[in-house]
Amino acid sequence: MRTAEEYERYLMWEMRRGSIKAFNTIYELYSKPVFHYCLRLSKSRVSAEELVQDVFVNLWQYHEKINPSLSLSNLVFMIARRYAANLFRLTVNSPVFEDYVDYYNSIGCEDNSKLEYDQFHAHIRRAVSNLPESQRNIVELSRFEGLSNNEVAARLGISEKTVRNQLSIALSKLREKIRKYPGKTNSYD
Amino acid sequence: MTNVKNLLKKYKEDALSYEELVQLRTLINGMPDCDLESLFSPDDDDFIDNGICVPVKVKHAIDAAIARYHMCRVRRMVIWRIAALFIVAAGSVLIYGVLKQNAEYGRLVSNVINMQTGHGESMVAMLPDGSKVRMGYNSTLRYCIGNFNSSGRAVEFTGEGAFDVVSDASAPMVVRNGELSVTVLGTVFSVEARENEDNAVIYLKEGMVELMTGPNSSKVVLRPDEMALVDRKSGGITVECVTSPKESVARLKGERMFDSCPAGEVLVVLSRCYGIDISFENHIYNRDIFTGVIPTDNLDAALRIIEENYNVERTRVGNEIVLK
Repeated sequence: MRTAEEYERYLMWEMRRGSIKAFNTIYELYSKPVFHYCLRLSKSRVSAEELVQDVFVNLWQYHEKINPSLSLSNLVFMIARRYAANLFRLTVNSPVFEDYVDYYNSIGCEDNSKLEYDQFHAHIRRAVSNLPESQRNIVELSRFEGLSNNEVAARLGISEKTVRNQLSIALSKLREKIRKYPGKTNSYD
Repeated sequence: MTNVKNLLKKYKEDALSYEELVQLRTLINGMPDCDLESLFSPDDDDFIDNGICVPVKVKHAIDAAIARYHMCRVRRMVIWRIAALFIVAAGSVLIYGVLKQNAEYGRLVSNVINMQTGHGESMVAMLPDGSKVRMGYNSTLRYCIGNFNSSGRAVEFTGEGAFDVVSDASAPMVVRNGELSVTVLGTVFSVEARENEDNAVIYLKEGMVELMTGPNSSKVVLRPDEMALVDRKSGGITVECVTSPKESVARLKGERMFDSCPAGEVLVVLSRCYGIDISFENHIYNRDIFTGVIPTDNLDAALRIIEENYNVERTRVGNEIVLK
């Protein structure tokens, strides 16, 4: 263990001096844990990939200023935490996540065919693109951009009542679709 | 806090109820970033090989971002270098300009100003310090602007001149004529020192001057209304008290005063002054005794005085004026 620590310290000093080779080794060692960590928190592969990218680019940008007395793991996760917290807020506050909570509560936890949030999200996206245009616009603004019914109405120049009606029609259509094709096998990658 | 941790655990396990989600939202939205971050420590699970792998495209994107970042830095460095070059270039141009200006100033300062009067002419020369020199006929005044500074003033002078020197005790004025030098602080005095005459005459009206006839000679101090006769060859100085200061005062004004002087000699003086031979046709007049003041810068006025005194008329014969 001690030698591993020493090795990491050595890598940090090397990176501080500008060694891209040391940086690459650090990436080899930490990209997976960071990715897994982000996946846990954001429940989204795409976001986790972007986050890994941000974390390591950030690490390199400040490589001259890093404090080599920190452990390498602390350093990497210190940066990752900042991005992850932000991402976590986005996911929890997202209307689609709200729909997802609705979804998995309605099918029951023991159901093996339950979609992951990521898959759910992809399904929704796919389903939304098949909606008629007027409904699609409303759903996109409401679910993906997180606007309130009021704001959607103002943005599209229609009444709030129309927004509410259209949205409820669209959402019930989407729910139906997702219940119809839950298939755990259809992973999207 | 335990509540948040609990909800967070449920969140990870997809076990939140709708009510719990609302609760979680309220909690984390009212929480500062640093507190939220402290909840997210990496898990041991994150470090074990769990089969997932980061797509290669992520690493490629990172490499590309780093390369871009470096390009920017290199570009910034290049820009800095170009800027530095520009600054150096601008600096050199500026320095060159200043030097050139200085050179021009130096040329101006070292320029010799030469003022000269001809026969029968007179002029008042103004020196850079405000001193005035009333120059008589055939006189030359020469100086450099650069020689007028806080520690001294220096001019060269030949001929006849009445100096009215602005008082400045810290910067004495030195009037040079060959080996003869007159050092003044602030006075009114006249100098008559011509190349073709043996004696130079310095008359002091006000103040005090020091005379030196060479670098090693002793100083002679003149007091007001004293006149110094300097033998230009030997350097000997004779100081006389001026009994009738009128003559010297007349010289200061550009006039010549004659007191019981044979008329022939008067004409010799005038001839020299105006650079033209003036003579009586009838030589009898030469022995007549003349007393009066005759201007040295107005030939017509000077001749009229003689004409009226002796009842003669001028006739010009070549470069000669004959009074008949």
